[in-house]
Amino acid sequence: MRSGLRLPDDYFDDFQQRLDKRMDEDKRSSQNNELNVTSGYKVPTDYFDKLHIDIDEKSSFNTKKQWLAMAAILVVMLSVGILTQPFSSETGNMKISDIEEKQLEQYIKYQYMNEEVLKSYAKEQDMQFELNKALRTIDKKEILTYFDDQLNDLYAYED
Amino acid sequence: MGKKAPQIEEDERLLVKRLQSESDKRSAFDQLVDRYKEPLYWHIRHMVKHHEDADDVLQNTFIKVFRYIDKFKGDSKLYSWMYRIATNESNTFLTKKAKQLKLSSQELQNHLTENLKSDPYFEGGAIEQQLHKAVDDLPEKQQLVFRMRYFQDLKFKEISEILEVSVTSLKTNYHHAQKKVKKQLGVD
Repeated sequence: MRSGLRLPDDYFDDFQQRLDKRMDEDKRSSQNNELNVTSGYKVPTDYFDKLHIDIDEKSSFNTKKQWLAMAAILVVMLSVGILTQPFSSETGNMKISDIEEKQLEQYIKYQYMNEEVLKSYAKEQDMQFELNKALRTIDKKEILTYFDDQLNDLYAYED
Repeated sequence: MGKKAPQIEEDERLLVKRLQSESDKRSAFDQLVDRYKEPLYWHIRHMVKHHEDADDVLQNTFIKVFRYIDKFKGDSKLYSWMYRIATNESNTFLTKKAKQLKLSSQELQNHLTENLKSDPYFEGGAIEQQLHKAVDDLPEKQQLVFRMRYFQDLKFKEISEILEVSVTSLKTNYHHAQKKVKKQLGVD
């Protein structure tokens, strides 16, 4: 017994042409979305000459913050048992062991690594406090739903 | 597909190189489409069930392949990477469709299988429809493995490369799936 599904006659004969047409339409539509109008904004004199100094300072601060935040989240997740208990979702019967570190990092970045949020914490303690507060109410199902939705996305475009 | 001879692997490496070059990208892409359109179509078709939807998802898959080919580093086989994109695109399509119809994913599967009766590109009878229904009732991972193995005739080794799951785990999944399907069909 097989699936019973069949192909329309000659389906693949013109597939390439139809695909080319669709790709051209896609390209045209993305080009149409680009407006060739300047914004009219100006920047202060010497702004870009000084910019690299600011970026260097800020990026080292933010990187440190991101790692601290990620470490804090992992610690709290472990302490509340999120990462140690197997759990299943309605669709995938997914276990925490199915989730790789890379994906977990992705989730944490997606959920918490908003630059604006990070900037709003003046001190490490404030950030830690906020993260702990957020993680006390974390929903395991929410994590699983996220991974069920994102699992393929995370893998699909990277090999 | 199957165990690739060194020559085929070399061909694939060259094809990827051409796909990632600006000058030769389009002609290499045509070659890629020609080579993989049929296996990818059937992979998608068994997930979304209806031909028009499969056609749409297949085109989306190739568009994504074209768009993201520069992200392909060669750490996995090209066809594994494309299968993953096809699986992802099919899942995205099914999620959207379920939302549109306000159905759960399980209800959507039942709905699609039920509609096969009136699909001009379904030539199976009641027993084939029952088989699809039995597969719909499997857990998601088992559905995928069962469809790839039973309907698409892929080898466990190939499925393992595509899904990045061990052959042992696949065999276990398939064994459970087969048992459940047989039970549902009353051929236990």
